[in-house]
Amino acid sequence: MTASSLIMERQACFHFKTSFTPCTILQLVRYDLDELEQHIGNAIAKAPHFFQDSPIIIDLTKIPDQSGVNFEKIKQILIANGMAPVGVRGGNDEQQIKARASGLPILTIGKISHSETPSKKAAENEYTTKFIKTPIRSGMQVYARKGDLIVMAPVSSGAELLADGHIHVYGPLRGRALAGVQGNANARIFCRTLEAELVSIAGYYLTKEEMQNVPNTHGMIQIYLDQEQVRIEIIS
Amino acid sequence: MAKIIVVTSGKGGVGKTTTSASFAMGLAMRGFSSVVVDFDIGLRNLDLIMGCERRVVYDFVNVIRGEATLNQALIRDKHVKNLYVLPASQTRDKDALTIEGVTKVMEELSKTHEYIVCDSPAGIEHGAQMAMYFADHAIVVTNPEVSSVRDSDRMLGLLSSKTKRAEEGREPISEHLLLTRYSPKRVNSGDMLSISDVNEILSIPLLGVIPESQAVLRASNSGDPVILDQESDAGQAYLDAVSRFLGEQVPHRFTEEKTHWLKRIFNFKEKETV
Amino acid sequence: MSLPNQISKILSYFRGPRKTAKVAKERLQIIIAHERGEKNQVDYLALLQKDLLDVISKYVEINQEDVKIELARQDGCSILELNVTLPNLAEKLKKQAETA
Repeated sequence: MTASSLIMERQACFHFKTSFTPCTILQLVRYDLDELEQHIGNAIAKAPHFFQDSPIIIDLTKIPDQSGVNFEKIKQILIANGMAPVGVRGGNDEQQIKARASGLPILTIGKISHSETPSKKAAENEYTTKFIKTPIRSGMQVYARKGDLIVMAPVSSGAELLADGHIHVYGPLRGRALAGVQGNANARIFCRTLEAELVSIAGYYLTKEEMQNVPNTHGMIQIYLDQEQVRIEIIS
Repeated sequence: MAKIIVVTSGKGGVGKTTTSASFAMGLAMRGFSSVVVDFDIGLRNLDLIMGCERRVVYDFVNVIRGEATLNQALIRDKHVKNLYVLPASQTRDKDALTIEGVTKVMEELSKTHEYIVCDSPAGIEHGAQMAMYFADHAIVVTNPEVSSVRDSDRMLGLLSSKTKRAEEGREPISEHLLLTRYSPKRVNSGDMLSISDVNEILSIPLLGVIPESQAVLRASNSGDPVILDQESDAGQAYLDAVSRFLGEQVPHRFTEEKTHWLKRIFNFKEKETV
Repeated sequence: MSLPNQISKILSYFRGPRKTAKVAKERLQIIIAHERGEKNQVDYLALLQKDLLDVISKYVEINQEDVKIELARQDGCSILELNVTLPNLAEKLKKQAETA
């Protein structure tokens, strides 16, 4: 929770502060007031103090076609069970108008839903960067799946660097570097010297022999793909 | 608990057995109970270099297979006390080395010795992998020559992954570079990779530089490890390497060209170093 | 350096460098002949042990541990020592009688 204060005037009798408070989302799956009263009662009975004074946001995303939602009644049920309804999220226009009329503001939909824990699948879909700080020896292979590869150590001749994204090498690159191995033609390779045995972007490659003509540089080299041709550019 | 040192290189003929023999002997000379083990099953050489080839009755594989006890197989060195040799089999092949068998032998040797030096065969196959598997320290023997350097680099890669320490997630093996057959004269004339050239590619701490020396051939001829030849530069370089391993600060010698005082005045052709 | 060593050093200076190649040749001749001609002592010991066990088993019931072979070297000649522990026949007959 973070807090920041905004003092309006020297004489103001209050301060606005920002803080984050955990809220419970009550996601309605079916609209049935009797059932709601009964089921909430059951839930409270199982854990009487858990929901005491809990701020509740009523989530309507699962009942978008429901008309005639009685928000007053819902509020009553929640308050009777010790909960504190503070707002509503989701829902169609009609539902939102009714909610406002009963004093429940419309809050924006958050990205995290309480029912799901961050799954491994979600993590897998994330774009990550692999950092390597130890020398990569001949015969070793490093693959940065779904991401970039950054190497801050020497890469020996006979070693292989692979990445779905970009490859950055801040030590001498003497081995092979293959960027965009899953077909990403926008992937690039950044390195300081051109001693690599082979460089490749999205399957198009250049061998050491073909790179002989590039002058030696103490700056940074960028290798990219331009119309199915691997190009080498000296930056700075 | 004994410290296990593997002497390895990848490339053949760079000086692993010469180093294993002299290094183990150097440790024994400093008072540590040491044993040197030959892992080159089928092509044993350690017994020849140590000069005990006529006293081999039982070997490493016999012990693993229960055909002999470790005590029956260990040969006491004639030059230095505290030093024992476990020779390899000459007739069996490397598959005779099982992980369980080698584990048992290492455990047993650990009870009675402070240092176990494992002389690895060349290559990266089973024998070499068995030799490095239990190591706490690795001495990577390298010649200042392209294929040796690349093979050593490959070896370093394997040392960081195919060992017991790596598998158990413990602290990685301590790597030490031993540059052998070094000729300062050829380095100066631009014909040979220099120490810094090799270091730049391998980037591991330098344990020692052993100069190219005729004493090494004489040592293997007579079966007396070169570290005993204290007049030779190779022998002295090995003594220095052992000291450095034991934590002493010893400056590197034999890395500069020796200029005879006459040469300096008259620019005579210099005699080959001995 | 002790006096005898010092004298040896001076003499060897006049004699020329020690001929280690000669020593090497002698050592090799011995060891190669040994490895080529004679069967590897230890291998044949293990095989001999197994064969002896097979033969003796035909006559008496014994286990591998009951047959022990050792090769000893004394003053240039090799001595093969064989120890066979035979089971106690009386005990064996007694056991047979009990189980019958």
